[in-house]
Amino acid sequence: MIEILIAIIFFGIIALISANISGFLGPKSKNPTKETPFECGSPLLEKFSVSYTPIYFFVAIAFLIFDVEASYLLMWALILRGVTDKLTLLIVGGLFFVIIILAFAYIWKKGGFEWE
Amino acid sequence: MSVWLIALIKIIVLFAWLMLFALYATLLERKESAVIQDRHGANRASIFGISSFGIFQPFADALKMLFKEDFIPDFADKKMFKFAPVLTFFFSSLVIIAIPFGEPIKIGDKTISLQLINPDIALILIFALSSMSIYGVILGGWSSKNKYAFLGTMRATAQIISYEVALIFSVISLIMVYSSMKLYDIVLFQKAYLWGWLPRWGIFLQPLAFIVFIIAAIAETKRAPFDLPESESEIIGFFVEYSGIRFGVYMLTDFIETIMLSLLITVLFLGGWHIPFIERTGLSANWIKAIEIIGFQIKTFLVFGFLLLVRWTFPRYRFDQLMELGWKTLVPISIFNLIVTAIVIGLL
Amino acid sequence: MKKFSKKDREVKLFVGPQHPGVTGNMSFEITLEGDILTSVKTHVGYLHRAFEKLMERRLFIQNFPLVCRICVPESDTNEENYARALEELSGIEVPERAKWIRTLVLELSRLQMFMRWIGGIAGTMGLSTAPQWSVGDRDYILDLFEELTGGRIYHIYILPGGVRRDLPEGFEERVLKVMDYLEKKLPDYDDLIFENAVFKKRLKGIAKIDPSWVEEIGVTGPVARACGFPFDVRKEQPYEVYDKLDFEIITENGCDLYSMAMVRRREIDLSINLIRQIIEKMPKGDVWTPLPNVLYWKIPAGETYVKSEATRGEFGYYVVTDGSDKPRRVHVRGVSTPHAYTLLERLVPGMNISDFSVAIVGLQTCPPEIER
Repeated sequence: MIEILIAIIFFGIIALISANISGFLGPKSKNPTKETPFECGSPLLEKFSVSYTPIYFFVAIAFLIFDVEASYLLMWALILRGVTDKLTLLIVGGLFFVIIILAFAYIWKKGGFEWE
Repeated sequence: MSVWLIALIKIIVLFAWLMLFALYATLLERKESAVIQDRHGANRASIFGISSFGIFQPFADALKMLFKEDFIPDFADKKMFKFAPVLTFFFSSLVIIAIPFGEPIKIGDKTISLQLINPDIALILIFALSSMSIYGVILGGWSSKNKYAFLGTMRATAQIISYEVALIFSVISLIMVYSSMKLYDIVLFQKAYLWGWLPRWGIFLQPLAFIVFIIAAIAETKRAPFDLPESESEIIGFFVEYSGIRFGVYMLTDFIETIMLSLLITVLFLGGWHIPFIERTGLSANWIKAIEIIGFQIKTFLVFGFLLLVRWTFPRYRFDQLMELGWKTLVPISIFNLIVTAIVIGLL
Repeated sequence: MKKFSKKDREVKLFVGPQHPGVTGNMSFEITLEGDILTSVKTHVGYLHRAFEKLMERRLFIQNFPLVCRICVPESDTNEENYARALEELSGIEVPERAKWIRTLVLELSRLQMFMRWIGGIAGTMGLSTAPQWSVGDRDYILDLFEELTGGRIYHIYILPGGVRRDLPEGFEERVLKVMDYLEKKLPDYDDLIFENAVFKKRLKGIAKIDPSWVEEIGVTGPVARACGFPFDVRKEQPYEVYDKLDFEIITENGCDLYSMAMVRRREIDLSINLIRQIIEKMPKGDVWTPLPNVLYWKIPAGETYVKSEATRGEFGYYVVTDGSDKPRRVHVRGVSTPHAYTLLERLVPGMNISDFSVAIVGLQTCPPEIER
């Protein structure tokens, strides 16, 4: 585990240095026009506000569901080839798959994957 | 030698390898696109009048970015703005610690494996780390407080987490076949033959998973035709407010992610450092080891070149088409592949 | 608790003039709801040079360097239109060979504009191979122009009474050589973009035009022909020698961006075909009727409207003279004015922001000709 520690420290230091080094090396110049957000060279129409459509939220939820399922499946998949009683494992996994597919079909049918 | 020293040397070598590859990846991309587009590509950077096909170009680019102004706009959330590129660079380059580069070599009486760590959960670790790098993108776009950057951030997030699902599902079917998550064991498993002539590589055992993995991998690295987060002709990209070396770190991270995915594809699907039938040639074990290490590099390089190549022959997808491809095509295919693999393995 | 209305979810922002996806100097004020555009307002004025007003203060011949800059990439249509208007008003006869040469120049100019457009539409979709190729191939046509006229973009070659000089020795063979090269290269473009599955997927059904808008707004050119309207000035009111050439009007029925792209793709073939016909049938003879001293050249009072088929649609010049040595009024009908204002503003609601810049290029808007 020492290796991981060294790697984290090493890569962390490198990342910090590389992203901040030009603060010491580079020039500095002040200009009020640099302090406006980029909007194609036009004056701002309205201030920035965090607003996004719900579809992004649905994507996040769908991702959460399937990634948790995947993390359960990882362990199941790991031992499948090695165990002697494969049939039980297959049946258990099959039940799990039925749930996954039902959930997937439900989201699909409800229009969770429509982006218009 | 102490464990500390060996680990440190390994990390430095890995880092140097990664940086050189990433820097020259930028040149490779420019040269490759130049060949496709009937151009010369970068060939002007020279030292003492020696330009030699732009071989110094990456260093010229890097130096230029180092000496740019370190500009952070006033309206941005400064701490997060500074932190975001560090985060994505850190996590995406940390993936390399779990990648094996060849068979263990003997120096004196010590056996040194060409891999920093070989944990039992290597694959989970890799995917966890590479998913973490999305936080850098989210933080960067959000803290910029720019409407274009925010649009790009939302797109990047949605795209990457969507393709993560297909990626993981295709990897699960691989884990089922290999029955291990250690990358070293996975390569060892592939160093065998089916029916005596076909290498037992992932690409032959799981062709469907390979296709899903490679498409999802291109989407994960935010490269064309899936470069929607940075599509410069629509929304200028999530890093629109970034400049200088911070922007450079984002660019470099893109290449590092691509390198990591080509390493993974090589290890998982293309037999790692296995070169078919080399053990039947009667070479000595040390020679075989050396050739295999070089072979691994060449394989990675070819996969990387292929991932670059796709960019220059496809127009960009639209966002809804991208999501449809991810959820309605790749995820069902990978689930189907998973079920078929499970049944085949369970009944064998 | 605060109630969220639809307005809260909307984001207003500017696209252009400093935007990689907008061609030229124009700007759009867009309203976004998520990724979907709800409205757009075109802003122009970044490129206003008052050419129409300037022309009223200058001699007839002095206006040629101005008219060729009205649409930057396609200067010959403007020159030809203005020259034809002056010829109609002053009654100068144009020699037969000059008409053929003019048509040749117009078609070459159309061809280079189409090559440029290929680059534009592929570039906005993130495929940067096609722009590199097409700009490279366009350069062969520009080389021909350079040899013929001395200029690559602004030619000032077509003057009242004919053209400035005859074709150089062996020019026809060099044109044919470039045409052969292009015909050999075009299948590559088909493979790269026009037959590309993603290209089709991106363009089909996008920016669907209601056929009733065509006459209402004044949509012309490939955009109208993509809606099945067989309208082409080259055929309707043949100018120069288009009545002596053999060709059919190209139409498609999709009304969407893909049909427009396919109309333009087929018109590239048509232009190559026309150039071959022109070179085959071109007669010998004079190329210029000498004008009176142009510094004191007065044109009798009158007014005329001449029009021609530019690459993007119907291009027209309305010229009024009052007997002096300067035009009383010159008004230009730019194709992009109805396209980029009315049509785009109608097309946009419900469109994805990804398709916005594709639609701008797909309609071939040309900002310099919106503001003359």
